[in-house]
Amino acid sequence: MSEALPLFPVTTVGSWPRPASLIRALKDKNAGELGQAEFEAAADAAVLDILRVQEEAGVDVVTDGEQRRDNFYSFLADKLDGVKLMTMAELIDHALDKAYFHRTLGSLDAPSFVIKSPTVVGTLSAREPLAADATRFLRAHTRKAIKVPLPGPYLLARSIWVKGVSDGAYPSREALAADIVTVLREELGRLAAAGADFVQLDEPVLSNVVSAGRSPSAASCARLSRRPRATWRGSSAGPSSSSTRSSTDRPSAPACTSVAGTGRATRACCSQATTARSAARWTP
Amino acid sequence: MATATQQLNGLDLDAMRTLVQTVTKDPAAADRLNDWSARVRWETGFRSKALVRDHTLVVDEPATLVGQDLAPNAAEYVLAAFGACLTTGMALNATKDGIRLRNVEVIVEGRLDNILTFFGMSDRGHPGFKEISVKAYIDADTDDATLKKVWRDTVASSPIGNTLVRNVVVHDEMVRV
Repeated sequence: MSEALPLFPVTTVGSWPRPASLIRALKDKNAGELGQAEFEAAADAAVLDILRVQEEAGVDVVTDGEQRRDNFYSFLADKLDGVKLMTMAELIDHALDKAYFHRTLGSLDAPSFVIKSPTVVGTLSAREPLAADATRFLRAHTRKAIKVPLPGPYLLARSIWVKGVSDGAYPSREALAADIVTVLREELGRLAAAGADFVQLDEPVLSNVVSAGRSPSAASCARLSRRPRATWRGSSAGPSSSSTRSSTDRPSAPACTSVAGTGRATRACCSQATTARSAARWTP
Repeated sequence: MATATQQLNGLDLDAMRTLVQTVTKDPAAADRLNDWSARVRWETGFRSKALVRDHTLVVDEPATLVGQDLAPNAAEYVLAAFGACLTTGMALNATKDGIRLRNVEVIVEGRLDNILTFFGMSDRGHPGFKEISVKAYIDADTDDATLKKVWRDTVASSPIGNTLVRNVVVHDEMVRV
Protein backbone atom coordinates (compact mmCIF):
# COMPACT_ATOMS: atom_id res chain seq x y z
CA MET A 1 0.00 0.00 0.00
CA SER A 2 1.54 3.29 -1.02
CA GLU A 3 1.30 6.58 0.82
CA ALA A 4 -1.75 8.78 0.21
CA LEU A 5 -1.20 11.48 -2.38
CA PRO A 6 -1.52 15.21 -1.70
CA LEU A 7 -3.94 17.37 -3.67
CA PHE A 8 -1.23 18.29 -6.17
CA PRO A 9 1.20 15.37 -6.36
CA VAL A 10 4.67 15.88 -7.75
CA THR A 11 6.28 13.42 -10.12
CA THR A 12 8.94 13.33 -12.81
CA VAL A 13 8.66 12.83 -16.53
CA GLY A 14 11.24 10.99 -18.54
CA SER A 15 14.08 8.70 -17.66
CA TRP A 16 16.94 9.57 -15.33
CA PRO A 17 20.59 9.74 -16.38
CA ARG A 18 22.38 6.44 -15.94
CA PRO A 19 25.62 6.36 -13.95
CA ALA A 20 28.69 5.55 -16.03
CA SER A 21 28.99 2.17 -14.36
CA LEU A 22 25.49 1.21 -15.47
CA ILE A 23 26.08 2.39 -19.03
CA ARG A 24 29.20 0.24 -19.08
CA ALA A 25 27.27 -2.71 -17.68
CA LEU A 26 24.56 -2.26 -20.31
CA LYS A 27 27.11 -2.22 -23.12
CA ASP A 28 28.83 -5.29 -21.71
CA LYS A 29 25.50 -7.09 -21.40
CA ASN A 30 24.55 -6.23 -24.96
CA ALA A 31 27.94 -7.47 -26.11
CA GLY A 32 27.41 -10.75 -24.27
CA GLU A 33 30.25 -10.01 -21.88
CA LEU A 34 28.11 -9.58 -18.76
CA GLY A 35 25.42 -11.87 -17.41
CA GLN A 36 21.85 -10.78 -16.80
CA ALA A 37 22.20 -11.22 -13.03
CA GLU A 38 25.28 -9.00 -12.88
CA PHE A 39 23.54 -6.38 -14.98
CA GLU A 40 20.46 -6.45 -12.77
CA ALA A 41 22.65 -5.98 -9.70
CA ALA A 42 24.19 -2.86 -11.26
CA ALA A 43 20.74 -1.60 -12.23
CA ASP A 44 19.35 -2.30 -8.75
CA ALA A 45 22.03 -0.10 -7.22
CA ALA A 46 21.29 2.72 -9.68
CA VAL A 47 17.55 2.48 -9.05
CA LEU A 48 18.04 2.69 -5.30
CA ASP A 49 20.19 5.81 -5.72
CA ILE A 50 17.51 7.43 -7.85
CA LEU A 51 14.78 6.41 -5.46
CA ARG A 52 16.67 7.99 -2.57
CA VAL A 53 17.09 11.25 -4.48
CA GLN A 54 13.38 11.39 -5.32
CA GLU A 55 12.33 10.66 -1.75
CA GLU A 56 14.71 13.26 -0.35
CA ALA A 57 13.38 15.80 -2.85
CA GLY A 58 9.80 15.15 -1.73
CA VAL A 59 8.60 13.63 -4.98
CA ASP A 60 5.19 12.06 -4.38
CA VAL A 61 5.06 9.62 -7.31
CA VAL A 62 8.42 7.98 -7.90
CA THR A 63 9.83 5.97 -10.82
CA ASP A 64 12.85 3.76 -11.31
CA GLY A 65 14.20 6.22 -13.86
CA GLU A 66 14.01 3.54 -16.57
CA GLN A 67 17.51 2.54 -15.51
CA ARG A 68 17.22 -0.98 -16.86
CA ARG A 69 16.28 0.16 -20.35
CA ASP A 70 18.53 1.01 -23.25
CA ASN A 71 15.96 3.63 -24.14
CA PHE A 72 12.31 4.22 -23.57
CA TYR A 73 11.05 1.63 -26.05
CA SER A 74 13.89 -0.42 -27.53
CA PHE A 75 13.98 -2.60 -24.41
CA LEU A 76 10.89 -4.34 -25.78
CA ALA A 77 13.12 -6.42 -28.02
CA ASP A 78 14.39 -8.16 -24.88
CA LYS A 79 10.90 -8.80 -23.62
CA LEU A 80 8.80 -9.72 -26.63
CA ASP A 81 8.98 -12.59 -29.07
CA GLY A 82 8.57 -11.38 -32.63
CA VAL A 83 10.51 -8.17 -32.04
CA LYS A 84 14.13 -7.73 -33.03
CA LEU A 85 16.40 -4.78 -32.34
CA MET A 86 17.60 -3.72 -35.77
CA THR A 87 20.06 -1.01 -36.65
CA MET A 88 19.26 1.78 -39.05
CA ALA A 89 21.96 0.28 -41.25
CA GLU A 90 19.82 -2.86 -41.50
CA LEU A 91 16.58 -0.96 -42.00
CA ILE A 92 17.68 1.68 -44.46
CA ASP A 93 17.21 -0.60 -47.46
CA HIS A 94 13.54 -0.84 -46.52
CA ALA A 95 13.03 2.89 -45.99
CA LEU A 96 10.55 4.46 -48.39
CA ASP A 97 12.24 7.83 -47.95
CA LYS A 98 15.98 7.17 -47.77
CA ALA A 99 16.79 10.86 -48.06
CA TYR A 100 14.81 11.45 -44.86
CA PHE A 101 16.81 8.72 -43.13
CA HIS A 102 20.00 10.36 -44.31
CA ARG A 103 18.90 13.76 -43.02
CA THR A 104 17.77 12.31 -39.71
CA LEU A 105 21.09 10.57 -39.17
CA GLY A 106 22.87 13.78 -40.06
CA SER A 107 20.90 15.76 -37.51
CA LEU A 108 21.71 13.13 -34.90
CA ASP A 109 25.42 13.23 -35.72
CA ALA A 110 25.35 9.46 -35.56
CA PRO A 111 26.17 6.54 -37.81
CA SER A 112 23.43 4.20 -38.92
CA PHE A 113 24.97 1.22 -37.14
CA VAL A 114 24.55 2.59 -33.59
CA ILE A 115 20.91 3.62 -33.80
CA LYS A 116 18.67 0.68 -33.12
CA SER A 117 14.95 0.37 -33.38
CA PRO A 118 12.75 -2.51 -32.23
CA THR A 119 11.22 -4.01 -35.33
CA VAL A 120 8.53 -6.62 -35.75
CA VAL A 121 9.84 -9.73 -37.47
CA GLY A 122 7.29 -12.29 -36.22
CA THR A 123 4.09 -12.76 -34.28
CA LEU A 124 4.04 -10.68 -31.13
CA SER A 125 3.89 -12.30 -27.70
CA ALA A 126 5.34 -11.50 -24.29
CA ARG A 127 8.39 -13.63 -23.54
CA GLU A 128 8.59 -12.05 -20.10
CA PRO A 129 6.88 -9.15 -18.32
CA LEU A 130 7.77 -5.76 -19.75
CA ALA A 131 8.22 -3.96 -16.44
CA ALA A 132 6.51 -5.97 -13.71
CA ASP A 133 9.76 -7.35 -12.27
CA ALA A 134 11.28 -3.88 -12.10
CA THR A 135 8.09 -2.62 -10.47
CA ARG A 136 8.20 -5.30 -7.78
CA PHE A 137 11.76 -4.28 -6.98
CA LEU A 138 10.74 -0.65 -6.64
CA ARG A 139 7.66 -1.55 -4.58
CA ALA A 140 9.84 -3.50 -2.16
CA HIS A 141 11.95 -0.41 -1.48
CA THR A 142 9.49 2.46 -1.16
CA ARG A 143 6.13 3.35 0.33
CA LYS A 144 5.70 6.17 -2.18
CA ALA A 145 3.26 5.88 -5.04
CA ILE A 146 4.95 4.33 -8.08
CA LYS A 147 4.65 5.31 -11.71
CA VAL A 148 5.74 2.97 -14.51
CA PRO A 149 6.32 4.30 -18.03
CA LEU A 150 5.51 2.08 -20.98
CA PRO A 151 5.71 2.81 -24.69
CA GLY A 152 2.21 3.57 -25.88
CA PRO A 153 0.22 1.57 -28.43
CA TYR A 154 0.21 4.32 -31.06
CA LEU A 155 3.99 4.75 -30.85
CA LEU A 156 4.54 1.04 -31.16
CA ALA A 157 2.04 0.44 -33.94
CA ARG A 158 3.57 3.26 -35.98
CA SER A 159 7.22 2.67 -35.28
CA ILE A 160 7.96 -1.04 -34.99
CA TRP A 161 6.17 -2.12 -38.18
CA VAL A 162 8.44 -1.78 -41.19
CA LYS A 163 7.25 -2.62 -44.68
CA GLY A 164 9.37 -5.35 -46.18
CA VAL A 165 10.40 -6.62 -42.76
CA SER A 166 7.22 -6.90 -40.69
CA ASP A 167 4.57 -7.62 -43.29
CA GLY A 168 5.36 -11.33 -43.24
CA ALA A 169 3.91 -11.45 -39.73
CA TYR A 170 1.37 -8.63 -39.99
CA PRO A 171 0.03 -7.30 -43.28
CA SER A 172 -0.48 -3.83 -41.83
CA ARG A 173 0.16 -1.63 -38.81
CA GLU A 174 -3.50 -1.96 -37.91
CA ALA A 175 -3.20 -5.75 -37.73
CA LEU A 176 -0.15 -5.39 -35.51
CA ALA A 177 -1.92 -2.86 -33.30
CA ALA A 178 -4.43 -5.47 -32.12
CA ASP A 179 -1.64 -7.65 -30.72
CA ILE A 180 0.15 -4.63 -29.24
CA VAL A 181 -2.98 -3.71 -27.33
CA THR A 182 -3.24 -7.28 -26.06
CA VAL A 183 0.36 -7.29 -24.86
CA LEU A 184 0.01 -3.91 -23.16
CA ARG A 185 -3.31 -4.79 -21.56
CA GLU A 186 -1.81 -7.95 -20.07
CA GLU A 187 1.14 -5.96 -18.79
CA LEU A 188 -1.13 -3.37 -17.18
CA GLY A 189 -2.67 -6.16 -15.10
CA ARG A 190 0.75 -7.42 -14.10
CA LEU A 191 1.88 -3.91 -13.15
CA ALA A 192 -1.19 -3.35 -10.98
CA ALA A 193 -0.51 -6.65 -9.22
CA ALA A 194 3.14 -5.71 -8.79
CA GLY A 195 2.20 -2.52 -6.95
CA ALA A 196 2.19 0.18 -9.60
CA ASP A 197 -0.08 3.15 -8.84
CA PHE A 198 0.25 4.85 -12.22
CA VAL A 199 1.18 3.73 -15.69
CA GLN A 200 2.46 6.36 -18.08
CA LEU A 201 1.97 5.52 -21.75
CA ASP A 202 4.63 7.30 -23.77
CA GLU A 203 3.41 8.66 -27.11
CA PRO A 204 6.12 11.03 -28.32
CA VAL A 205 5.44 10.52 -32.00
CA LEU A 206 2.06 12.18 -31.66
CA SER A 207 3.86 15.50 -31.42
CA ASN A 208 5.82 14.55 -34.53
CA VAL A 209 2.61 13.85 -36.42
CA VAL A 210 0.89 17.02 -35.25
CA SER A 211 3.82 19.42 -35.46
CA ALA A 212 5.77 18.09 -38.41
CA GLY A 213 2.77 16.80 -40.32
CA ARG A 214 4.46 13.57 -41.30
CA SER A 215 4.01 9.94 -40.43
CA PRO A 216 6.54 8.75 -37.91
CA SER A 217 9.02 6.24 -39.18
CA ALA A 218 11.43 4.01 -37.37
CA ALA A 219 14.03 6.71 -37.98
CA SER A 220 12.00 9.42 -36.31
CA CYS A 221 11.26 7.21 -33.32
CA ALA A 222 14.89 6.22 -33.02
CA ARG A 223 15.71 9.91 -33.20
CA LEU A 224 13.63 10.49 -30.12
CA SER A 225 15.65 7.94 -28.22
CA ARG A 226 19.05 9.10 -29.35
CA ARG A 227 21.49 11.39 -27.57
CA PRO A 228 25.13 12.13 -28.29
CA ARG A 229 27.71 9.55 -27.41
CA ALA A 230 31.46 9.71 -27.14
CA THR A 231 32.82 11.30 -30.29
CA TRP A 232 36.08 12.04 -32.01
CA ARG A 233 36.73 15.63 -32.79
CA GLY A 234 39.45 16.32 -35.27
CA SER A 235 40.29 18.78 -37.95
CA SER A 236 42.85 18.75 -40.66
CA ALA A 237 43.97 20.68 -43.67
CA GLY A 238 45.50 17.67 -45.32
CA PRO A 239 46.66 14.15 -44.82
CA SER A 240 49.43 14.93 -42.33
CA SER A 241 47.70 17.21 -39.87
CA SER A 242 46.97 16.37 -36.28
CA SER A 243 43.66 15.87 -34.56
CA THR A 244 42.40 15.95 -31.03
CA ARG A 245 39.99 13.83 -29.13
CA SER A 246 37.09 14.95 -27.09
CA SER A 247 34.14 13.16 -25.69
CA THR A 248 30.73 13.79 -24.29
CA ASP A 249 28.84 11.56 -21.96
CA ARG A 250 25.97 9.73 -23.48
CA PRO A 251 22.94 10.83 -21.54
CA SER A 252 19.98 8.60 -21.20
CA ALA A 253 16.78 8.59 -23.19
CA PRO A 254 15.10 11.97 -23.51
CA ALA A 255 12.23 13.17 -21.43
CA CYS A 256 9.74 12.78 -24.21
CA THR A 257 6.49 11.42 -23.01
CA SER A 258 2.82 11.96 -22.71
CA VAL A 259 1.25 10.81 -19.52
CA ALA A 260 -1.96 8.94 -19.00
CA GLY A 261 -2.45 8.01 -15.39
CA THR A 262 -5.42 6.71 -13.56
CA GLY A 263 -7.87 9.45 -14.29
CA ARG A 264 -5.21 12.13 -14.31
CA ALA A 265 -3.69 13.47 -17.45
CA THR A 266 -0.44 15.35 -17.50
CA ARG A 267 0.87 17.30 -20.44
CA ALA A 268 3.71 15.90 -22.45
CA CYS A 269 7.14 17.41 -22.57
CA CYS A 270 9.70 16.72 -25.18
CA SER A 271 13.34 17.65 -25.06
CA GLN A 272 14.99 17.21 -28.39
CA ALA A 273 18.34 15.55 -28.46
CA THR A 274 21.23 17.87 -29.03
CA THR A 275 24.19 16.72 -30.99
CA ALA A 276 27.89 17.21 -30.68
CA ARG A 277 29.47 18.04 -34.00
CA SER A 278 32.80 16.70 -35.02
CA ALA A 279 34.42 16.78 -38.38
CA ALA A 280 37.58 16.04 -40.22
CA ARG A 281 37.91 18.70 -42.88
CA TRP A 282 39.99 18.66 -46.02
CA THR A 283 40.62 21.88 -47.80
CA PRO A 284 42.32 21.72 -51.20
CA MET B 1 45.50 -31.12 -46.30
CA ALA B 2 43.09 -28.25 -46.68
CA THR B 3 43.25 -25.53 -44.06
CA ALA B 4 40.61 -23.00 -43.15
CA THR B 5 41.09 -19.64 -44.80
CA GLN B 6 42.31 -17.05 -42.33
CA GLN B 7 40.19 -13.94 -42.51
CA LEU B 8 40.12 -10.60 -40.77
CA ASN B 9 37.52 -7.93 -41.49
CA GLY B 10 36.21 -10.16 -44.28
CA LEU B 11 39.57 -10.13 -46.06
CA ASP B 12 41.45 -13.28 -46.98
CA LEU B 13 44.81 -12.83 -45.28
CA ASP B 14 46.57 -15.35 -47.52
CA ALA B 15 45.31 -13.54 -50.61
CA MET B 16 46.55 -10.26 -49.17
CA ARG B 17 49.98 -11.74 -48.47
CA THR B 18 50.10 -13.10 -52.01
CA LEU B 19 49.23 -9.68 -53.39
CA VAL B 20 51.97 -8.03 -51.34
CA GLN B 21 54.51 -10.62 -52.52
CA THR B 22 53.44 -10.18 -56.13
CA VAL B 23 53.72 -6.41 -56.22
CA THR B 24 56.98 -6.56 -54.31
CA LYS B 25 58.64 -9.00 -56.70
CA ASP B 26 57.03 -7.87 -59.95
CA PRO B 27 57.19 -4.12 -60.60
CA ALA B 28 55.30 -4.53 -63.87
CA ALA B 29 52.41 -6.19 -62.08
CA ALA B 30 52.42 -3.41 -59.53
CA ASP B 31 52.45 -0.80 -62.28
CA ARG B 32 49.41 -2.36 -63.94
CA LEU B 33 47.47 -1.67 -60.76
CA ASN B 34 47.99 2.04 -61.41
CA ASP B 35 45.71 2.11 -64.44
CA TRP B 36 41.95 2.37 -64.21
CA SER B 37 39.32 3.37 -66.74
CA ALA B 38 35.64 3.89 -67.36
CA ARG B 39 33.59 4.24 -70.53
CA VAL B 40 30.60 6.55 -70.22
CA ARG B 41 27.82 6.80 -72.80
CA TRP B 42 25.15 9.45 -72.86
CA GLU B 43 21.66 7.95 -73.10
CA THR B 44 19.13 10.75 -73.01
CA GLY B 45 18.39 13.90 -71.10
CA PHE B 46 20.93 14.10 -68.30
CA ARG B 47 21.16 10.33 -68.00
CA SER B 48 24.34 8.44 -68.84
CA LYS B 49 25.59 4.94 -68.30
CA ALA B 50 29.15 4.13 -67.27
CA LEU B 51 30.79 0.82 -68.08
CA VAL B 52 33.49 -0.05 -65.58
CA ARG B 53 35.02 -3.50 -66.09
CA ASP B 54 32.02 -5.84 -65.78
CA HIS B 55 29.88 -3.27 -64.01
CA THR B 56 27.53 -0.57 -65.17
CA LEU B 57 26.63 2.59 -63.29
CA VAL B 58 23.74 4.87 -64.12
CA VAL B 59 24.28 8.59 -63.72
CA ASP B 60 21.38 11.03 -63.66
CA GLU B 61 20.38 14.36 -62.17
CA PRO B 62 17.67 15.01 -59.61
CA ALA B 63 14.35 16.43 -60.77
CA THR B 64 15.39 19.83 -59.43
CA LEU B 65 18.08 19.81 -62.13
CA VAL B 66 15.69 18.56 -64.83
CA GLY B 67 16.83 14.96 -64.54
CA GLN B 68 14.74 11.86 -63.95
CA ASP B 69 16.47 11.12 -60.64
CA LEU B 70 17.14 7.53 -61.62
CA ALA B 71 20.58 7.51 -60.04
CA PRO B 72 23.14 9.75 -58.32
CA ASN B 73 24.67 12.53 -60.33
CA ALA B 74 28.33 12.67 -61.22
CA ALA B 75 29.23 15.01 -58.36
CA GLU B 76 27.55 12.68 -55.88
CA TYR B 77 29.53 9.78 -57.30
CA VAL B 78 32.69 11.73 -56.55
CA LEU B 79 31.64 12.10 -52.92
CA ALA B 80 30.57 8.48 -52.73
CA ALA B 81 33.82 7.39 -54.34
CA PHE B 82 35.80 9.34 -51.78
CA GLY B 83 33.82 7.82 -48.93
CA ALA B 84 34.20 4.32 -50.34
CA CYS B 85 37.89 4.92 -50.83
CA LEU B 86 38.20 5.76 -47.14
CA THR B 87 36.21 2.74 -45.95
CA THR B 88 38.31 0.55 -48.25
CA GLY B 89 41.47 2.12 -46.89
CA MET B 90 40.31 1.58 -43.31
CA ALA B 91 39.72 -2.10 -44.06
CA LEU B 92 43.18 -2.36 -45.61
CA ASN B 93 45.08 -0.49 -42.92
CA ALA B 94 43.26 -2.03 -39.99
CA THR B 95 43.74 -5.51 -41.38
CA LYS B 96 47.43 -4.83 -41.99
CA ASP B 97 47.73 -3.91 -38.32
CA GLY B 98 45.69 -6.90 -37.18
CA ILE B 99 42.81 -4.75 -35.91
CA ARG B 100 39.26 -6.10 -36.07
CA LEU B 101 36.79 -3.56 -37.40
CA ARG B 102 33.26 -3.76 -36.06
CA ASN B 103 31.72 -0.89 -38.01
CA VAL B 104 32.87 1.92 -40.25
CA GLU B 105 30.62 4.61 -41.68
CA VAL B 106 31.87 7.69 -43.50
CA ILE B 107 29.82 10.76 -44.34
CA VAL B 108 31.10 12.98 -47.13
CA GLU B 109 29.64 16.39 -47.81
CA GLY B 110 30.75 18.74 -50.55
CA ARG B 111 29.96 22.29 -51.59
CA LEU B 112 30.44 23.42 -55.16
CA ASP B 113 32.12 26.76 -55.61
CA ASN B 114 29.46 28.17 -57.95
CA ILE B 115 26.94 25.97 -59.76
CA LEU B 116 25.96 28.91 -61.99
CA THR B 117 29.25 28.60 -63.85
CA PHE B 118 28.17 25.10 -64.93
CA PHE B 119 25.03 26.62 -66.44
CA GLY B 120 27.07 29.33 -68.15
CA MET B 121 25.26 31.97 -66.11
CA SER B 122 28.22 33.32 -64.18
CA ASP B 123 31.92 33.98 -64.61
CA ARG B 124 32.60 34.03 -60.90
CA GLY B 125 34.50 31.11 -59.42
CA HIS B 126 34.29 27.60 -60.86
CA PRO B 127 31.81 24.71 -60.93
CA GLY B 128 33.97 22.27 -59.00
CA PHE B 129 33.87 21.41 -55.34
CA LYS B 130 35.23 24.21 -53.22
CA GLU B 131 35.26 22.21 -50.02
CA ILE B 132 34.64 18.63 -48.98
CA SER B 133 34.06 17.52 -45.40
CA VAL B 134 34.48 14.00 -44.17
CA LYS B 135 33.28 12.48 -40.95
CA ALA B 136 34.03 8.89 -40.00
CA TYR B 137 32.34 6.79 -37.36
CA ILE B 138 34.50 3.81 -36.48
CA ASP B 139 34.06 0.99 -33.99
CA ALA B 140 37.15 -1.20 -33.74
CA ASP B 141 38.96 -3.44 -31.30
CA THR B 142 41.91 -1.20 -30.54
CA ASP B 143 42.89 1.73 -28.36
CA ASP B 144 42.14 5.33 -29.26
CA ALA B 145 45.68 6.30 -30.25
CA THR B 146 46.06 3.35 -32.59
CA LEU B 147 42.68 3.92 -34.17
CA LYS B 148 43.47 7.58 -34.73
CA LYS B 149 46.73 6.64 -36.44
CA VAL B 150 45.02 4.10 -38.69
CA TRP B 151 42.47 6.75 -39.68
CA ARG B 152 45.15 9.35 -40.38
CA ASP B 153 47.08 6.80 -42.46
CA THR B 154 43.90 6.00 -44.33
CA VAL B 155 43.20 9.64 -45.14
CA ALA B 156 46.81 10.25 -46.15
CA SER B 157 46.96 7.22 -48.46
CA SER B 158 43.53 7.57 -50.06
CA PRO B 159 43.83 7.53 -53.87
CA ILE B 160 40.63 9.50 -54.28
CA GLY B 161 41.53 11.89 -51.47
CA ASN B 162 44.86 12.56 -53.11
CA THR B 163 43.16 12.99 -56.46
CA LEU B 164 40.93 15.65 -54.94
CA VAL B 165 43.59 17.65 -53.14
CA ARG B 166 46.39 17.44 -55.72
CA ASN B 167 46.61 18.91 -59.19
CA VAL B 168 45.74 16.17 -61.67
CA VAL B 169 46.83 16.49 -65.28
CA VAL B 170 43.79 15.96 -67.47
CA HIS B 171 44.31 15.16 -71.17
CA ASP B 172 41.21 15.53 -73.26
CA GLU B 173 40.51 14.70 -76.88
CA MET B 174 37.37 14.88 -78.97
CA VAL B 175 36.73 12.69 -82.00
CA ARG B 176 33.96 13.55 -84.44
CA VAL B 177 32.21 10.46 -85.78
